[in-house]
Amino acid sequence: MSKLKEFTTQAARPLPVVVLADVSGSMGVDGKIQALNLAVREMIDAFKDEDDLRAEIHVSVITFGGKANVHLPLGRAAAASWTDLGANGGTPMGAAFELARALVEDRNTVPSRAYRPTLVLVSDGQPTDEWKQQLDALLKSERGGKAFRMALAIGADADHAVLQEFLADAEARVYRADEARQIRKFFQLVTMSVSARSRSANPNVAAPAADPNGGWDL
Amino acid sequence: MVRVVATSVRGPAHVKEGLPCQDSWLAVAAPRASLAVVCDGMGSRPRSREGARAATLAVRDAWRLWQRSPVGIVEDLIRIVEAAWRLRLREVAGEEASTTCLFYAEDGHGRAAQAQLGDGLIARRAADGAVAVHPSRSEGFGLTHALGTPHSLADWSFTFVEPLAPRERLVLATDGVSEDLEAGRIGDLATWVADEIGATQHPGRALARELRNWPVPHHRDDKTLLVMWKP
Repeated sequence: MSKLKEFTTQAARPLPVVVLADVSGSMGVDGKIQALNLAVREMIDAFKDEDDLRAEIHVSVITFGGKANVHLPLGRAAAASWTDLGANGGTPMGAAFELARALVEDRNTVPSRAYRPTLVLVSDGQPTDEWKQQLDALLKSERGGKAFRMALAIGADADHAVLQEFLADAEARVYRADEARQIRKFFQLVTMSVSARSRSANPNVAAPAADPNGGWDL
Repeated sequence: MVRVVATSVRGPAHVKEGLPCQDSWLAVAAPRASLAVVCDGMGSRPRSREGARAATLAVRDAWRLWQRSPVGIVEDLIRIVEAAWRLRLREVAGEEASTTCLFYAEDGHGRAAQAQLGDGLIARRAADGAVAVHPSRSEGFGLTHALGTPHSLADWSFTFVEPLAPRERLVLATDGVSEDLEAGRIGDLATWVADEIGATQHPGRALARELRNWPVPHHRDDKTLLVMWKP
């Protein structure tokens, strides 16, 4: 046995993926919450099937519906156990931003050797709480500001402006799902993006973007 | 006089791609003043191997000049390193050869400097076992400062320190090593390298064998580890 084993950690470097999922009451119609549950479950299963990775993918799901809540604590995707979400209440997106900031800034949860996290925001409505200050704090935080960010607007009532502010990049795109099945498509895109990064020479660098018109246009 | 054991090895990613190691190290163990340098060429840059090698030589260039003055400050040394690196690169553009740079330099006048630009580790284990880790200015998530990327003197972490004392051990490592170390075991690592690897017939080769068998799952990076000590 290598003597070095005594001096080194035995855990692979984590690559955190944090999903901020809108589970407000409006997500309960038109099959949206069912589609979201299926999509997140498939994403986690896909991460479980990955091998030959440079990084170990960790997943957390923060929900906001009535109140913000850590539905799935950050941990190895391979060990994640998914329970379906229900839809209820208002859209406290600001509280979810605050939970996300606290999570990525927590050195015990996301160690310094972790690769840059991916934050994924999914919403079908407008925030019902104070969110500007919380989003600002997230984006200005030492680690939250460096995270890769992706956003999905579900349906016509989604607040694109808030989602665009979350991306904090004029050239970054808010994906749009007009139908429930497109939620699944978006999470397939997230899965591809994270998997490509975890296999790349440097997972801290964004993987080359998929062909914008090559099947990933929702 | 100090003793040194050091080596750089290719990580599995570069082995798989058929690329050379992009880390580099240099040490001078001299009676009057010693020097230790490790550099990690940024994998995303095409000439980073040359950048890392040039940086080790630039630190030696700068150190030789800096030693001549008993009043030179660490900032002076760093400024010379920055200039010497660009001169060492000749026609190669700095941004194509980006590299981190970590060094320990004794000035021969009873002082020593420690300086770090970018990821990696500088640590010292005193004779009584106490370990002091040099504070880095790493941005985290691999967003490292480096020679050849926009930075200023303020992005270097540097200080004067006492020269190595008898039985004290100095550790310099690139992030391929440092990111996987247990914080509480750095001193034990230094002792193992000095006492066990250092006692073998070919310490550099022995250390290289160990680093090639790095025990952390999914590791990919090149690895450089340098341990300098005063017996």
